[in-house]
Amino acid sequence: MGMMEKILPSAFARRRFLQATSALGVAGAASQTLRPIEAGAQRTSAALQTRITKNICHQCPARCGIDVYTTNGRVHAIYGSTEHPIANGKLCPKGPLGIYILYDPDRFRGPMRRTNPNKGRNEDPRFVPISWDEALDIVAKRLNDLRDRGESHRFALLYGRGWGASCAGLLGTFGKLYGSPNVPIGHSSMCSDGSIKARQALDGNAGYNAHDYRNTNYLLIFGASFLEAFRPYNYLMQMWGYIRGEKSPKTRVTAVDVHMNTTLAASDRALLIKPGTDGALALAIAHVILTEGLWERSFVGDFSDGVNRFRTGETVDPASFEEKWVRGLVEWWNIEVKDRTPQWASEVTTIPVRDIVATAREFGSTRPAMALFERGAHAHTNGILNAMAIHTLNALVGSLFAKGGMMYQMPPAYGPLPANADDYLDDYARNGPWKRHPRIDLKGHPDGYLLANNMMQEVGPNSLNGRPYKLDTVMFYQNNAVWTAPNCRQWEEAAKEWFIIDTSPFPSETAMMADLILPDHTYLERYQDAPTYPFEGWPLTQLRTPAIEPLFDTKYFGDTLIEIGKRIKGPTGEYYRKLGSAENVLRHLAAGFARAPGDNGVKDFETWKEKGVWYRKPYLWQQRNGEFYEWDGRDYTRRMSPEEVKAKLLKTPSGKFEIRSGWLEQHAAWIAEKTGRSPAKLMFPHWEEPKHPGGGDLYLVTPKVALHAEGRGANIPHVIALLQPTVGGRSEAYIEIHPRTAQERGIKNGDLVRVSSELGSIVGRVRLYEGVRPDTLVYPMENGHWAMGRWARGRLPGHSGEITVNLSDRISGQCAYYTTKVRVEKA
Amino acid sequence: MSTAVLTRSSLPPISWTLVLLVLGLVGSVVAGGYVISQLQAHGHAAFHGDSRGLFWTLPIVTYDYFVLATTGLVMIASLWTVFGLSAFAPIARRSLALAVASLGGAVVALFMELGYPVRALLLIPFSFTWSAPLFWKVWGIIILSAALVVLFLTWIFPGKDERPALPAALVAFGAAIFVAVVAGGVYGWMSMRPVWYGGHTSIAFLVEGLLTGSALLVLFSWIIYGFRGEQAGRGDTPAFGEPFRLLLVVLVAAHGILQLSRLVSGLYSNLDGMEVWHHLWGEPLFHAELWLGLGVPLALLLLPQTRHEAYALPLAAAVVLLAAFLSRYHFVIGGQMVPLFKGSWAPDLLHYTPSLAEYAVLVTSVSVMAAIFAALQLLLRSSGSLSAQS
Amino acid sequence: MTKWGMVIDLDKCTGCQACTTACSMENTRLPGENWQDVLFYSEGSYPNVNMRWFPRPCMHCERPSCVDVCPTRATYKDPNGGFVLIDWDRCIGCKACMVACPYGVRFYTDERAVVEPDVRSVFPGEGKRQWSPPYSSPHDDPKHGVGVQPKGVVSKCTFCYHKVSKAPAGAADLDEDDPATKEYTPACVRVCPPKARYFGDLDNPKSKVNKLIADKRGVRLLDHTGNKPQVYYLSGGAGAAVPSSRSSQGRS
Repeated sequence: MGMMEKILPSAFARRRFLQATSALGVAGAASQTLRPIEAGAQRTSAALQTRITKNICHQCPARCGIDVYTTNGRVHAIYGSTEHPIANGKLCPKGPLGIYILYDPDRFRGPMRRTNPNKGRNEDPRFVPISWDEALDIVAKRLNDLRDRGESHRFALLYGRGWGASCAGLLGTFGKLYGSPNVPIGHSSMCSDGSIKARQALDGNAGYNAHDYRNTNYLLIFGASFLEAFRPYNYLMQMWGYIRGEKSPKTRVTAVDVHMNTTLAASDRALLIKPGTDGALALAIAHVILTEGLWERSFVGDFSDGVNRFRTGETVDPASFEEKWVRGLVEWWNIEVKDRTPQWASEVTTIPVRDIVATAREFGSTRPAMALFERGAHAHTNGILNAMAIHTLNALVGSLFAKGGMMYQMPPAYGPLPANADDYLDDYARNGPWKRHPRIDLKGHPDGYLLANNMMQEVGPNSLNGRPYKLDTVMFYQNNAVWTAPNCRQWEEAAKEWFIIDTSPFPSETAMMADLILPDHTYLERYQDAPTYPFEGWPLTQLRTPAIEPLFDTKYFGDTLIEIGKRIKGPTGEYYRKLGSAENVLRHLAAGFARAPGDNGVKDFETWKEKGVWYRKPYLWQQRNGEFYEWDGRDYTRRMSPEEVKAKLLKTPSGKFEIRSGWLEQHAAWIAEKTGRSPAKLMFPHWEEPKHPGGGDLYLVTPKVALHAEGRGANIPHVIALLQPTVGGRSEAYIEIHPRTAQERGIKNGDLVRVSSELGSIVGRVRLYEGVRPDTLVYPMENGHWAMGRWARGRLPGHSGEITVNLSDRISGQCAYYTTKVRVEKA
Repeated sequence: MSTAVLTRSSLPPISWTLVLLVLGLVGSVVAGGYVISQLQAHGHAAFHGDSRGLFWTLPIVTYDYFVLATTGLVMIASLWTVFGLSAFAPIARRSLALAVASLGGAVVALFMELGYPVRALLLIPFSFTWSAPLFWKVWGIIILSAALVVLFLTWIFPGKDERPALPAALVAFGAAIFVAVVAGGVYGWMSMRPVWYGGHTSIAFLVEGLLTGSALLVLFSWIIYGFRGEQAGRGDTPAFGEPFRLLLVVLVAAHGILQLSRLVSGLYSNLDGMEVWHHLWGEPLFHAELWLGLGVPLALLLLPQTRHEAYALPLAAAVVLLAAFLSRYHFVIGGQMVPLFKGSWAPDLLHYTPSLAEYAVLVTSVSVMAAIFAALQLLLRSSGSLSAQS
Repeated sequence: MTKWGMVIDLDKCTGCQACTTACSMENTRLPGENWQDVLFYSEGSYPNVNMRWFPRPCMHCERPSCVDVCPTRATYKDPNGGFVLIDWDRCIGCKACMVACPYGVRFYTDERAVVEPDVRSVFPGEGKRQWSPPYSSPHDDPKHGVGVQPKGVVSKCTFCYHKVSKAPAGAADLDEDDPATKEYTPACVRVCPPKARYFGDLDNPKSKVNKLIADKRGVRLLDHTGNKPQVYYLSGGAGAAVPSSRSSQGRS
C-alpha cells in the first residue's frame, strides 16, 4: 500500500479512478494535479533535514550509482555517488531526471483492470482500480488455466531493461517451473545483439566488451555515439575528459557516423559514411594494416621469415604464416581482404581515400588502439558482417585483453537463492506439452533465427499470423514493445488478441492496450539489484534503496512475480513461498559477498545498502606481448596455458580469435540456405551489400541522443526542452535534412514534411542541416507517442517505428532499424 | 496673428469632445478589461515576449511612443510658454492637456507590461542607481509631471491669457527634453545592441517626440472641432494654420533624414546585428512606413494642389502618426531580432507577432489618452478656463 | 576578498548538457529556463561541417552591464564573492537587464511556456511562487535570486550562491572531488563528467583556476563588450581571442 492510500483510502481510490479514466483524455485536468507541497514545511525550517540514500540511475544501462537527496519527505536532487566506480561523483544529463520521473503526474496510482473490451489508439481502456490481491488472483487464474489446458506455452513475458537477479533474473526460473518457452523473451534483438553475436563468432564471448579506456591511445569509433549514448555513458565522458584533456599522451580519436554529432565533432577526424557500409571501411583498414605491416605480431603472428607478403590483389600461402592467437588470417586475406582496397572502400562508403588511409595508418601504428562499434554499424541486414570486420581490427592490433584494450565483464559473487528451482519441477515442468512448442519468436529455430539470443520484434507478427501459434497472455516488464517495435501498427493488431498484463508505472502504449495494470514502483522507491553493464571487467554489482516510501499503491516487479508464482498450482507455488519476497532474494544474493567482500568493505546486505555498491578489483587477466597472464594477487604474472585461455578468455572452438569463425561454420548449411551467402565466405568477415526495404530513396537513421537514451524522457518537459541541442529541437525534435536534398523537394527550413515508406508515413518538421548526409534523414529515436502522458502524447515528429520495416539480420537477429529507405515531401 | 478674444461660437463644439470621451472610456474599459482579464488568467504569457531575445514588445513600443509624444507636446507648448512665439499661444494649453493625456496612455501601457508596476513607483525614485537610464528617465518624468501640475494649477485652470510664470514653464521644457534624450539613451546607450547603439538615438527620439506630439495635436484638434479644421481654424486656431504646416514639414523632413541616415548606416555595415536592417529592407511594411511616411505628408503639405486643402494637415498628421508608430515598432523589435548567445535554440532572426492582448494594450493606451484629453477639455470648459485660446 | 570565477575547458567538454540538467534540478528551473545552457553552432558545408559548442553560465561579470541598467538595484554585484545576483523583492520585471546582457543569460519566465502543457499549471504555485513542484529544491532565498521565483521577475544563474556562500572560508577552489568542498561546489561544476569545469577564487594566486587560465590560454567571451566576465574558457594552443583593451583595468 502506498503512503497516500494509508491516510485516505477512499478518497484515494476515487482519485485513482479519476486518474484512470482520464488516462487518455485531455479533460480531467483537475484530477491530474498533484497537491502542492505543504506550505511552509520545507521552507521555514532553518536546519533542513536532508537524507542521502543510495540508488542506481535508471535512465540507461550504465547503472551509475547515485546519491539521492530527500528533504522533509521530498526528493529534490540526485548527484553521482562519489564512491561509486562508474559514477565517481558525476552524472550524465539524464541523471537528475529521476526526480521528474518519481513525481510524474501521469503515473499509475495502483493496480487496475480494463473495462473497455475494445483496444486501439483511440480507445479509452476505462481502467478501474482493484486491489493487489484481486489483480494477482486474476493473473494466477489465467496462468493456472492455461497450464491446466496444456497451453502454458501461450503465456509470454517480454522484458526490456531487466536490471538484475531480483527481477529479470527470476524470469528464467519462472519459465522453467511454470512451463513456457516464452518466459522470458528479452529485448536484446531490438537492442544490440549484432554486437554480441559478432563477438561470439570471433572470440567466443557473447557479450559486450569491457574496456580499459584509461590506457588506450587510439579510439576508432564506428556508429557508436560515444559522447551521446554509448555505455556506460557517464563513465565514458569521464574517460574522455581524462584521455583527451589530462593523459599524456593525448588519445587520438577518429569517429564514423552518418551525420555530424558531438562524437564526430569532438574527435580528431570525422568520417561521414554511407549507412550500412561500415564493414567496407573496416575491411579496407584491415587491408592497409596488413599491406603496410602494421599488425601486432606478438598477438597475431608473422610470416615465418618475417617478410610481408600481403600485397594488394595477391594471394598468400597460408603455410608461410605462423598464427599466434588468431585463426584464419591468411585465408581471410585470400578470400576477401586482398581486394578490399581503400579505393574500393571509398566508392562504397563515399569516404575519401585520403581519410581512409590516414585512419588506417594511425590506428595501425598506435598502441594500444581500440575499434568500437555499435548499432550504427550493425543494425543492417549485413550487420553481423560489418561488426565482425570491425572487431577483427582489434585482433589485428592486439588489443584483446590487453592494457588499453578490451576484455569481458566478470559476474558478481552472488550467493544462491533461498531455494533451488530444480527441486521444484513437477512432471508438467519436466515433460509438459509446452516442451514440444518452439518459442513464439522462433529464436533457436531453423525456420526462424537459429543463432539469435532473442527475436522480440517477431513476437507480435508471429502471434498475429499464428505462426508458430497465437499467444494468449502476455506480460510486459520494462518494455513497451507495442510502440517501440518496428512496424508497430502490426503489434497493435496482435495486442488486441492478447490478455495483456503491464507492469510499467507509466501509461505507455502497451499499457493502453493492457487488460491488467500491475504498476511497479519507480526506481527511487524500491530495492533492486543491478550487476554492472560491461565496464572495466572487474565484477561490480549495486543496489537500489528507496529514497522514500512509495508514493502510490505500487509494487516492485520482483515481488509481483513472486506473488504470482506463489499462486501457481503445484510445487511452483512452494518454490516462490520459499523465495518469500524480492528483499529476501536480495539478502540471499548479498550473502555471497561474505566469501568475497568488496574492496569497499561490503560483505552483506546491510553494508551493501549503506554503500550502494559491491565491487572487487582487478580484472583477473591480461594479455601482454602475445602472452596471457592471470592475476596472482599483486600483478599479472602467472602465465596461462592455451587451454586456460580457451576456457576463460578466447572461448572459441580453437581457443583463438577466429577470423574464420568456427561457430558460424558449425551452422554453415543453415546460414547458406537462409542468407544465400557463399559457403566459402560466410564464416569470415566479408563485404555484403545491405538490403534496404521501404521503397524510398533516402536512408532513415534514428540515433539516441544524450537526453533520451532509452526513451524514458518522453513525458518529461525538461527533456523535451533540451532534446536536440545540436540543431535546436526544443519543444519538438527536428528531422535533419541536407539543404540540397530539401531544395530538390521544395522543402524549406521549418517546413512540415511527410516521411513515408511502404508501411505508412509520419509527419515532422525539418531542420536544414549541412551536417547530415545528402542521402540520409536523421532524427532522434522515439518520438511521436500516442500515449505515455500529457507531454509525450502527439509530439512531433511521428514515430519512426511506424515507417521502419521489420527486417533483421538473419544471423544475429538484430533488428535492422537503420536500413529502411524512405521518401520525404512537403506535408 | 490676431489674439483677439473670440465669442463662444468659435469654441470647439462640445459634441465631439463628448464623443471622444465616450469612445475613450468605452475603449479603455473594453480593451483594458480584456488585457487585465488575460493577465489575470495567464500572467504575461498573454504577451508574446520570449526570453530568447524579444524582451520589449508591443506594450513597450506603445509606452515609449506616448512618452515621447508627451515630451513633444510639452516642447511645442513651450514655444509659447518659454519662447513667447505668439503663433503658438492658441494651442499651448491644449498641447499641455494632450501631453498629460498622452502620459496617461503611456503609463497604462507600462503598468500592463511591468511585473510589479506599483513596486516600480516606490523603488525607482530612491534607488539612486545613477548608472541606470531608467532611473533618470523616471526622475525626468516625475519632474515633468510636477511642472505640469504647477502649470495646470497656476495657469491653465485659472484661464489666464498671458504666459505662465517662467520657472514652471522652463522646468517643464527642460524636463521634456531631458526625458526624450534619456528615453533615447535607454536604447542608444546599449553598446551590445548595434541597431540601437549611438548618440544619434537620443536625437532621433527628440525629433520623433516633437513629430508625434505635433501630429497628435493636429489630429485631436481636428477631431474636437468636428473634422472641420479649416472652417474652425481660419486664423484662430493655428493648429491648422501655417506655422503648424511648416512645423510638421520640418519635423517630417528631420525625422526622415534621421531614419534614412541610420538605415544607410545599418545597410552598409557588416557588423553582427545590423543584418536586421537588411531584413527590414525586405519587409513591405517597413518601406511603407519609411517612404509613405515621409512622402505622403510632405507631398500633402508642400504640393500647391494640396497644401491649402482642409484635409491636408489632418491627413498628413494621421499618416505621420501611423508611420512613426511603425518606425518605433521596427526600431524596438528590430534591435532584438538578433538573439545574443542563444545558439541553436534561436539560429535565425527571431520573429515576433503581437498577441491580441498586446494589440489591446495599444488600444487601451489610445483610449485612455482620448478619454483623459476629452475629460480635461470638458473640465476646462465647464470651469470657464477654456477660452478660444485653447 | 574572494572573487569566484569559473573555468571551462573546451577541449574536454563533450556538449552533453549534464551541467544544464543538474542546474535545472538543483535550482528548480522550468523547462527551457536554462540558467546554464550549452550553445551549439554549426557552419561549413557537407562533409566539412564545423560543429562547435560551449557551456554558458552567467558570466558574473566584473563590470556587469546588467547591474548598470537596473533602476531599482534589484540586480547587484555582491562584493563578497563577486556574484551578480537578483533580489526578487526589488525586481519590477522591466527587463532592462535582459536587454543589457550581451551573453543572453537572463530569463523572464512570466511568458509562454517553452513546452506545453505548461508545467506550472500541473504544479500551481503556492504563495508567491510561480510554481511549486514536489521536487522543488528546499533552498529559498529571494534576496539572492535563489529558489523558485515569483511571477514577473527576472532570474538567472547564481553561481549556486546557496552553496558557494557557505563554502569554507579561504578555500582557493571548490572541487567536487575534495570531500571538504564537494557540497559547496556549484551543480554544473560538480556534475560535469569529463571534468571540464572548475570553480575557484580568481583573487587567490594559488587557485587552480588561475593556473589553468594561465597554462591553457583562458579567454573571456565577447571581451570587446568590456564587461569582463569571471568565466574563462580554455582554448589551448596559442590562443586567438583578443582581450579587450581595458581588460587589465579595475572597475572604473
